[in-house]
Amino acid sequence: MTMNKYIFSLSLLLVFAVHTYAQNLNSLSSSPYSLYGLGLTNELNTGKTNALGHAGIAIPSNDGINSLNPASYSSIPKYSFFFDVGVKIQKETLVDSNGDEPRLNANFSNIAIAFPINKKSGLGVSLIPYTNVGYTILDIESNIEGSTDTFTTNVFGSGGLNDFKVSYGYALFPKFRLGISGSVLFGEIKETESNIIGSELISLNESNTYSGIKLNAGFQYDITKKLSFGSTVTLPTTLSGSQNTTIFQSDGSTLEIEDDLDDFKLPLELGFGLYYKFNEQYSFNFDYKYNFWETTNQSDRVGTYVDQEFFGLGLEYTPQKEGLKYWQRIRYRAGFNFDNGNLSIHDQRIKNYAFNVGLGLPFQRKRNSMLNISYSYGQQGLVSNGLIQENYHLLSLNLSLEGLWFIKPKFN
Amino acid sequence: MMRYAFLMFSILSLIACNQDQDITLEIGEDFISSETQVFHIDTISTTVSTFKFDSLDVASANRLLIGNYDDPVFGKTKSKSFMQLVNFSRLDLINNDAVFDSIVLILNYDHYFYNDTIPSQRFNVYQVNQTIKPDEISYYNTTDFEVFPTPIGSHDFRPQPRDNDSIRIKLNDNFGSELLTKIVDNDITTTEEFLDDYEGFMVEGTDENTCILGFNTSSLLRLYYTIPNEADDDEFTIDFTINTDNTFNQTTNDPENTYFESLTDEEISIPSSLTDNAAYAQAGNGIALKVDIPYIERIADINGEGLIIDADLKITLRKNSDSELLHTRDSLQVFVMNQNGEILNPLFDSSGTAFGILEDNSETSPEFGEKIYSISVKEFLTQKLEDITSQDLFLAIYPARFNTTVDRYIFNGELAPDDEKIKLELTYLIYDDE
Repeated sequence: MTMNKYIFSLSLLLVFAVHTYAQNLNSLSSSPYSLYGLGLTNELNTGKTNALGHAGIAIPSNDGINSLNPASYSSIPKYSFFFDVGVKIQKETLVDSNGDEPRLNANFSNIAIAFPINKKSGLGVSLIPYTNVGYTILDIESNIEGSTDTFTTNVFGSGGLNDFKVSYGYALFPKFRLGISGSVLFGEIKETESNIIGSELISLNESNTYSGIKLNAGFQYDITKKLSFGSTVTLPTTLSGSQNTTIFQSDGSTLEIEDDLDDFKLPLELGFGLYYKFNEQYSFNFDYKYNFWETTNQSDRVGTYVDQEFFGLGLEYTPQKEGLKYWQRIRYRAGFNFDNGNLSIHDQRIKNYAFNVGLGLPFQRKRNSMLNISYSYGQQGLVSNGLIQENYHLLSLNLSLEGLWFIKPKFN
Repeated sequence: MMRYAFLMFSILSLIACNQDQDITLEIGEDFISSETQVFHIDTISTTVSTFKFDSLDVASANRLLIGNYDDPVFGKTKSKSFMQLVNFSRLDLINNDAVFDSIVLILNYDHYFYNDTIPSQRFNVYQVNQTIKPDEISYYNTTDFEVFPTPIGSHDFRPQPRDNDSIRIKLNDNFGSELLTKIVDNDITTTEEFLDDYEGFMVEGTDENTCILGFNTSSLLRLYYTIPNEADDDEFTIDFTINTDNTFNQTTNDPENTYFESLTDEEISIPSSLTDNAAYAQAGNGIALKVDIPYIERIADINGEGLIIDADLKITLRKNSDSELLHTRDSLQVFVMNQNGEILNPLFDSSGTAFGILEDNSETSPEFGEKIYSISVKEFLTQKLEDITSQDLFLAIYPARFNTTVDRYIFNGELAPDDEKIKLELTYLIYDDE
């Protein structure tokens, strides 16, 4: 494929990605748990790690963008240009003590590019949702105080924060890679509350805008030819927010209120990862992360923030990387991830675990361009103490493309 | 391969764009600790008193109101009409041989009446002794003009305003023949010349308790004459019609031995607690209600930021105070008034001018038949809350057609029994309880 074709394809994809993104800002999630804080943290990433237990701190970026550790960007092959765009579709069943309800949501999950600067360093730019908010809760009956009447409330939440990240990786030694990244976090979380009071409809439209900067650093070290170790640290930061509430009444009158929001603190995050290549066919990866939420001293309307631990592991099998048969070149992946949640409601943690399987479908024999498909089945929360359990099926698709720069085709 | 991948990707992207959820979505309800609270409040202090306008503007009358009635509460109410008559035809063309026959004031019923129509009553017609012109800038219900002491016509009748079209008051033949002579002699050829001699007429009822009747301004003075030697001995007429610009009703009330004796100035009002726990309104002579909601700002004592989403002032007619003869209407006029009793503007709500609307409670309590008027005062209260200079504003409530009827109303005051008293019903929403 020539460069022109690539550019054409990329622009086409970009159009799709932007289209998808724009269309779905209102349904980035469909979880009532996204009511809390800034919403549910997005776990989806670029490339293959979505099928490898969302783990990959020690994995290099030599065959695709690994945005979990900025150090990996120094391992982008010379002349390569990586592009990665993803979408996700999630089908959930929410279960509480009264029954269950299905929910569905779909949206853009990332867009990223990465390229080498020279032999030793690489640069990457990515736009990935940082949190997702999406909830719809209808027909909440409340008493009108001072009467026997009730009023009905419908609540809709949408929006989320985005992470626009620039990452730089530098290979200090061939086996030791360093990296830093800086993120701009920005976004809007909207909550619309419609109150139907007698014949009046009062709508409270709340728009919460947050912004802030996040810094992250990491390294990767190849202990042996087979075993690599990686680590990342994300510095604590503070997001500042402002709130704009507009109250609409059915007689047409409106009231607008501007408010500063309390700062939202993001904690120190430490991550450690291992990557082991048994041989050309099998590889194994494992991540452990610890997020120090308790030190942020924050609580939400009903829950409190607690320290969060994350475990993820993955296994990849490639029958024969440059095999003659197509199936031999397919990557087969499986993973598992677990985290104990950063939120505690009534002393119950909202835990989350998922199994994932995936395929990497290569487009060409000698190129790393690939369609990465992952499917996860997971559970979050539990049905007790008035909590909700979410059983979800998550399908993610990542188109991970590799273009070659500065190589002229022999025949045009 | 690439093509298929793109195709698949595109389809998925499009699917992702078209999600619609049409199912019950109630899970998560317990997580919503919504700050929104709604209160129904009917304990906000509301007081009502009675006041009387010094005068009502009654210019451009579209009705003649003539008669008297006595009322145990309102005392004696009397209305009489001053009217200017004109004729724009060519009076100089009237045949010189015209012979006077008769002259009649024809009053056409407009079917309005108040009080009992059974007693016989007498109307007297007088000639006005002054030019009928505005009292400074307009005509008021208190405007008065001198009349010649002797009536030029009297009429005794039993009014049948519903069944008959008009009453005919025969005037003196002397008066009529003199008028015809002046016309035939060309002393009167134009309206101006007519008005020089006949400045106006006044019609009133005698003082007995009868009823007040409404007549159209199409009423007229008709002179009948004949012309001898004409083949069929035809009867001819000359009509003098009402100039509404200089026609008005003087409607007055004798307050002696009523609650309204002390209302000598429109700045004075009597609290309902001093007047049988009721407040009073009467069209025609300017008795109206003044409603005060003095402490609305205390609504802020409820914790949090809130707003009034609905506010209705409910005012109930005193039971059995109205009847078929002493009837009331389905709407009330409401105005905003300052401390000095000056009317500032009509009451507005979001859809425009707000009125007191009679509630249809035929389904909820048909057996009681209470007449409750509801007035949307949300905008008014919001104005009072937001604007310090609006705190001393009051509502003035008076009957519809305040200038052209004599309808009277008795409303329950704030000390009446709980389900009948004047009451402010508020729906208040707290959107932020911090």
